[in-house]
Parts: sequence; structure tokens; C-alpha cells
Amino acid sequence: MKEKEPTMMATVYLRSQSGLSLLNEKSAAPLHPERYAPSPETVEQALHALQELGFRIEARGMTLSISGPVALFEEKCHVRISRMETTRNEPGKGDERTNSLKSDEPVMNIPDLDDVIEGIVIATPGIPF
Amino acid sequence: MSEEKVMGSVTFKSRSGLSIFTDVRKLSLKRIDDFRPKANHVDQVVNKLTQAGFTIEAVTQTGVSFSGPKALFQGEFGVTIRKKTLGPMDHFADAKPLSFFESSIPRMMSRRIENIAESVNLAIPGIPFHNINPPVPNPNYYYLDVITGVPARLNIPPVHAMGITGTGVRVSMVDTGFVTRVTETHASTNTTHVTVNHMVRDVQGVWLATDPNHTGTNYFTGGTFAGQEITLGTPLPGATTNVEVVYSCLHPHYLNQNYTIDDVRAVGGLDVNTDEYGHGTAEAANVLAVAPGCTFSFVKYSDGGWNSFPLAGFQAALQQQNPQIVTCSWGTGAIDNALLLEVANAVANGIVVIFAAGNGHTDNPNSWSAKSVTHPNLISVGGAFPVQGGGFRASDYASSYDSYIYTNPQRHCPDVVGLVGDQPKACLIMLPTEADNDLDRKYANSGAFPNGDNTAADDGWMVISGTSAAAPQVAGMAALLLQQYNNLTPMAVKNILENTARDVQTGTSGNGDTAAPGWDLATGFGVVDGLAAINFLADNQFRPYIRDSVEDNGTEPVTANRLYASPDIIVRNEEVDDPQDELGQSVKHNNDLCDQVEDGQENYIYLRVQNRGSLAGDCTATVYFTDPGMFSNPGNWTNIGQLNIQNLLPGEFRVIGPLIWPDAQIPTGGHYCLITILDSAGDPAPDLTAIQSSADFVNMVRNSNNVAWKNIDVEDVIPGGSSSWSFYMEGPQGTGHQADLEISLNNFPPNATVLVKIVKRLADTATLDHMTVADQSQLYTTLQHLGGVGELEDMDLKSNEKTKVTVYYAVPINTPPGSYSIVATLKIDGNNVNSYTKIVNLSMFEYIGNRRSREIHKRECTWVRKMTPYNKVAIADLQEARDRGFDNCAFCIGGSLR
Repeated sequence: MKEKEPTMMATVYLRSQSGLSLLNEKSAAPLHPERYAPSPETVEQALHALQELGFRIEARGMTLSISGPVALFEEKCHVRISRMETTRNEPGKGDERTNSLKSDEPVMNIPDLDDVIEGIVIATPGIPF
Repeated sequence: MSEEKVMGSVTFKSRSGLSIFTDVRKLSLKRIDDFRPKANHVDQVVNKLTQAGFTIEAVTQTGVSFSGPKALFQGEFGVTIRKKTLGPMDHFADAKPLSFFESSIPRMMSRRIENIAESVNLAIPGIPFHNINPPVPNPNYYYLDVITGVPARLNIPPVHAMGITGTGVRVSMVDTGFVTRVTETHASTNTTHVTVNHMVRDVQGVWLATDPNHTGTNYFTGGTFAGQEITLGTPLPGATTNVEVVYSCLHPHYLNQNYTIDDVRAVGGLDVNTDEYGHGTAEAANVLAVAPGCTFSFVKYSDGGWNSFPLAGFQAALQQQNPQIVTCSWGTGAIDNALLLEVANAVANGIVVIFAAGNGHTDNPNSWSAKSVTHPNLISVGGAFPVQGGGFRASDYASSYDSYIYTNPQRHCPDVVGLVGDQPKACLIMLPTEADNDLDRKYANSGAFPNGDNTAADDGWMVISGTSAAAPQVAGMAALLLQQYNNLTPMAVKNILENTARDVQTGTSGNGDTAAPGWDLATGFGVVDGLAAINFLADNQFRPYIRDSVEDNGTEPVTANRLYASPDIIVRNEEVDDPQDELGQSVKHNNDLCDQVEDGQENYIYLRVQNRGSLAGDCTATVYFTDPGMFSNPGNWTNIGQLNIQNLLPGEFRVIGPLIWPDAQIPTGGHYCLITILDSAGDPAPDLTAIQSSADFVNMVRNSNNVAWKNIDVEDVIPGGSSSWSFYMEGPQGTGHQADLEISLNNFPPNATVLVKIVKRLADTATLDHMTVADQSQLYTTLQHLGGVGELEDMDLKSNEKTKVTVYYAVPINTPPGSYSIVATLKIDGNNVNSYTKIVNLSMFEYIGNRRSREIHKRECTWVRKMTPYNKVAIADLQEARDRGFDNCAFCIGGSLR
């Protein structure tokens, strides 16, 4: 029996008003959130366009969380998505496996939305303590 | 034999006409008021039931629980009550019988209260959870009951007794699930109705009890539910058919406590009606045990498997649940900057954010383990083990570490700690969970305690903890504070919890740090303390204070012996870009953030002040310096200047300054004292004219939290002695960088001693060439330069990271006069980006003073050879020596005045 396709969740980085890029500062520590804030117009434009494309808006904050079938992401972002399993040895728990998805382009883009969206990244999984 | 006691509860008619039985789906945050009774109805029912002879057991905003003899119930409500026993119909072989009372009319009513109550029901037994074992197991080892044991060890019962339970405070938890899926076996009421034991949130199906594999007809398909009643979509074959019902409800633990549970949701298409992993259902009990009156909401972010969306869960909590506090007991598979951004933004918007520090985890991005979430503005919670019989020690299961991400200033985790068990499994707190979930099975099937929890896999309970338990305990504590003082900022909540935590002095954390008296790496400020936190702020007062030691929380008099080293008077050679970030809350525990005062330039004085009153206010801070010999004469102290502090908020920890200390006012080399006096209308400065002696001064520092004192050294640039020089390395924007720092001594005296002090994290990542480690502290590594060109290669310099490098040098006294230089070159990703040059002009001085003994010697005096480089002060002539307070060496000069 074919395994059920997992839900794919992604984080949408919107272009900030200041021009600063959180996405390109992977190791930066965002102490001052206002510096990375998108304009309300950018947010609304992105929300509308993503919904039009068929993505589900899960939550909105400084970034957007969107979900949809893997195939939709592959089609709109022109990427290939594959599965990835990570095994960690957690204290007192032994090996713990985390399953996640991986894109052949770590930062995905939708060409038509380049003016409002800086990049789309597959959501980082959480691990209960 | 005494008559058996029956427990009942009243459901009120709501003020809007909505019924909790038929309109339960409309029960939301926005409509919660619609389901509440009208004003005074609760009191009226309490009075009428008391008049009837019942005992009132509990009263909330929405319901009343009461008890009385069976006969009293039967007479008051006109029903027949009988004891019912379940057991034979249960399909679990090891099931035990369960007895409870059942009324001939499920929804009872009395004329006494019929105009204000919707129904009266007998208590629902909080039991059947796959099997009908007693609801709470009782394993044979030391553990804490979550309702009684956790609050007791956190000193919370006195707070609850004051009526402070978190009422009105909105707490959201983001975790693996909060709704429990249960299986019960019942006889149907008729062919289309089944009554189950708990308030239904969702029904998966109803099958014949003879169909345990659920392969036949699902009689619920097309049906509906309300309250505890399920209406079937397909009629059963008989009126009293035994059926197996699989449905979702809140765990009976939560239902029985009458908690206010508001919005419960999931993200990413996760099934909100089950907690497959079991973690969220369990750990949430910690919040509600500490703050049983809070309004609790929950977002499910993970099913414990493929689907795990913590950022979306965190965002959904903020967007949909309007929380004042968000608590998270998890880390992430990789550093997620978008999540850190949301955390920072939430705190900026006034929301207290709490994260578990981890169980041996860190935020090391290169580790294979989970990454802790460590933004400096959140409250990072570690663990202490509550020793049986009293006291605490650091839990060897909980994390402690310096953040790899936030290094300037160095952020340390945890800030405070809650209750956590020890290795190997941290089995400490009996917590409710969905029966037969991943964790319940894992703890049941891992062997006997301490490797397992000695409870069954399907009993709906497990004994766990971890910092996952500690974080929600602290969230509950924050809710108590916010009920009492609703104007506290998130940073004030954090500050108060830190200021009032109980010190943990023994034990070792999961990362190997050892607890010790005072702030320590293993447990931060210590175990949160409910009563101390609630009592911290003085009601209706403005109480600014400045600390005499890290442990000083403004209590007068200070008990510490060391009064001369206030951590809150900070002198810097250069102006600080963002004082609140660099010198603020995340380095509150650091007791010496000073540079050495440098003569020949302006210096910058920063102060850290707090308010332990419940009112905001304005005050001033005046800073003086004086020679130690002038303590008794405040009139001779030099007034450096005054800072105005406006609107210092309750519980706030604020960095103020800089106060510029002009070069002309900075004394020549020597030992001096800085004194700070706070003054406000409501909390005036002490009268300095009362100081008549040094002892008076010391007593004033001890007895007044408006006065602080710090000893400092003022240092000249001293050829022939030692000095220091600092510069900053700064990473450009973009992703992380590889940095190489080259320090050339090719034009420096060959026998000079040169030490390089750098943040330990950077030194740890570097490959050393012509340098060796001379010393290490928690935060810094000091390297000895071995001459020629020394290099730190391949340091992990972060984007926009600004980190200070200090070079200390001592030049031998016999070094020929001349101009020498040290040249440092910074390469980022292989490219030269900056160079820093220090030129040292050496001249021959005839005399050398001793900074410590205050004696002056001829350069060739044998006593000079015995002086440490730091104590050597170059002096041109005897007149300068006298002007600077030096006395002649009796051996080489003669004429000593002593």
C-alpha cells in the first residue's frame, strides 16, 4: 500500500521594508524584529497570490506559514522534493528519528512573486523535550 | 456504617441562552462570555444548595460542584440513585470493576434552582481510559503528584491561598496535542443514542462490542454529538446494545479540575482530536497545576512523526489565541531564524515567551541533536531535582550551555529552573496522557524504574518531566504574576522570576556544569519561587535600586560581604552601540562588564537600575568618584554627573547612560572608587552629610539599596610596564563567515609578553598558529602570542557579529627606546577586510613608581626588578612623583616621608 503523502509546510520570507534580509542571514541573531518587518501591503499581496496558487495559509506573523501538497510546491517552485530521515541520540531516550522533507533548492522561489517573496524554505521540524 | 457520599455539579443557564449541551461547538474565546451565567447566579445557587443541606465543594465562574448523602440527593431532585458497577463488558482482560453513582434521570433539576440552572448531573467518574484501572497509578518510588507536589515544591500554595491562581491570564502552549482519544464500552440508551463518560469533542466511530476490530458497520457515520450524548447515524439492532465508542475528549484530569480551557487547535492538517505522541497532554498539566485559574489554549504542532510544524504552531498561537504567555517545550531540527524572529516580535509586543532549555541539548547549529531556542528575550528554563525531604540540586537531565548563536553579549541558558527528574529518564511527575500513545508505551516498556516509569502503557498516565515540564511550570508562575500585576512587561516578568529564584548550590547539569552558591552555569538564578515572586514588588510604591552584588535583589540590608564591587556600575573605554542589548538582562549575572579605565581619553559610565515597586516612576542617578581615603568626606567626592531616568517600570531592569567621564576629570593611575546614588521623590537618596567615617559609608551602602560602590583602577599607558589595546572584529552581512585573525609582532620587542583575549566560542573554533592557550574562563580565552606572526584561523564569525579583541602587552624594562608596533589583520572568507595597528613609543624614564606600594624608585633599583609589570608606573621626575602621591624609596633615593 502506498504511504500517505505527508503534508508539506513551508516558511515564506517576505521582502522587508528596510531591505534587510533575514533569509540571507542564516546565522544572524534577530534581536530587533522591526528591522525585518515587511510592509502590510507586501503581506496582503503575498497572501492573496499564494492562496490563488492553491496554497493554504496556516499562520501569518513576520513570515508566513503555508502548506499544500508536495506536488504543488514542486510545480510552482520548480523543485524536486524528497524525504529525509534524521536519527539523533537523545539523552535518556536513545535514538530518536525525525522525518522531514528536503528540496533540491534549499531556498525556493516562485518567479512571479519575486517582488514580494524573498524565498520559501521547508519548515524546520520541532523536537519535543 | 456512614451513608455514601454523592457528588454532583450544576450547569447554569447561560446569559445568552446558549446551552453547553447543545451549542458546545460555539464555545470559543470570543463567545466564552455567552456561555457564562448571569451575574450573581453562581452565588444564588451556592446559597440555595447550602440551605438545602449540601456541601459546596468548588465554585468557579461557570459551575458549582457539591456533595451530600444519597438520600438528600434523591429527595431534592426526585430521582432514584443507585450504584453501578462496570467491568464484565470491558474487553480488557486485566480490567478491574469500576463503581459509581447513576441517577434514574441523567439531567436532574430541583425547583429551588430551576430558574437559573440548566441541569444538575452526578459526577462523571474520571476513569475509563482504555481500561478501568484506578485513574492514577501509584508506583512504588518517589515521584510528585502534579496537582499537589509540583506547586508545593515551587512554593505556590500560599499564593493560591491568596486567591492568585492566574485568573484572567491567557496562556498558550504549543506542543504535540491536548485532546485525548478514548475507547469506551457502553450499553446504548436506545437504538440511536449512546451516552459516554466525558464531554465529546469528536467521534471517530461506534461499533458493536462484538466487533473489536471495527470491520463492520460504523453506526456513528452521519451522526451527531452534543455534550456527552452521541446520536447515531445508523440505528443499532437493539435498544440496549453493547457498543464500543471511540471518541475524543479532554483527559479526565483536565475535566475534573474545572480548568478554563479555551481554544484548542492544530496546524498543517494535523488531527486536533488526538495526541499520538502524548507529550503535550502530559506537560500541559504543569501549567494548570501552577496556574489553575488561567485561561488555557493549545496549538498542536506535531504528530510525533512526519508532520512537525513548530513555527506555524507558534504563529497560530499568537495570531489566533491572543496569549499573554506562550510556552514551548521543544527544540527544532535546525536553527530557525524565522522562529527566532517571531519570538523577538512576540516579546516586543508584550508577550512572555518561555522555552525549555533542553535535556542535554544546546543551540549548537553543527550538532546532530535538537537545537534549543535561545533568543535572549525569552525565558530559558532548565531543571533542578527536588530532593525528597527538601532542597534542590541541579538535574543531570537538564541543559546548561552558552549559546552558540547569541555571543555578543554571551547569552547563557538557562535563566531559571523548574522541577526536573534525573537521568536516565527523568521520571519525576505523574502526568496525564492519551493512553497507549508513543511516550506512554515507551516509558512503560523500558524496564523498571528508573529506566521506565512502572505504569501501564494504556492507563493514560506516565511519570516523566524534563525541561518540558519545567517550562510550563514557569509559564504558570508568570500567569500568577500577571494576575497580580497586569502591567508587567515580559522582561519584567523574567527579571522578577530571576530576582526571587531560590539558589541551587549542588548537583551537576546534563551538560556537566556544576551548581554553586549564587548564579551558576548549571541552574542560572535558581528555582522559581511562587511566593517570593508575588511578594517581590512593593505595592503602590516606586522603589528604584542598584545592586551591590549579582545576588542583591534590593532587599535591605545586603547580606553580602563584598560591597565594593557593584555589577551595575560599568565603565567602558568606548561608547556602547546598544547598551540594553550589550549590558542588559542577558548578562545581568555578569559581575564585571567594565573595561579598565583609560587615562588620556573620555570614558563612558553605564548604570543598571531596577524598580521593585509596583508603580512606575522617575529618578536620578548621580555618579561620584573618590579616593578610598575620602569615604568619610562626601563633600570632597568628585561629582562626575547625573543621569535622569524616566518611567522606570515595575520590575524593570534598565541600562542607562552613558555618562561621559571627561578626560580632564579622570585621575592619574591609581585605585579609585565610583559611587552611585539614586534619588526620587518617593524613595529619596540617603543623607550624605550623615557620613562621618568610612564605616558610615560602608553601612550606608549596606543599608540603602539606593547606593552602590565599585572599585576601579585607572591605568596609564606605561612603556616599560604593561598596557592593553582593544579592537573589534565585525562580520559582514550574509551567511556565516570563516575569519582569520593575524597578529604580527615582527616590529615589537622580541621578549615582550603579549596576550590576546577573545570570546571563548571563537577561540574554540579556531586553529592556532604561533599562539597557545594561556587561560580560559566561562566566556573568554586568553592566548599567549609566541612571537613573530601568530594567527587564529577558521573562526566561525557570524554575520553582523561584532566581537571585541583585547591585546595585553608587557614590555621588558631594558627594552631600548624607540617606536614599536603590533599589527592585526582580519581576513573574512580569505579576503583582507581590516587591519588594526597599535604604535607603542617607548622612552627611557629615570624613575618607576609602584602602583601598589605608592613608592618611587630609580629605574635601576633592585626593587623595580621585583615589581610586576602592571604595578610599574613610568615617572619623569621626582616632582611629578610627589604630585601623584608617591613616596621616595628609602633604599635607592632616600628621604622617605613615611
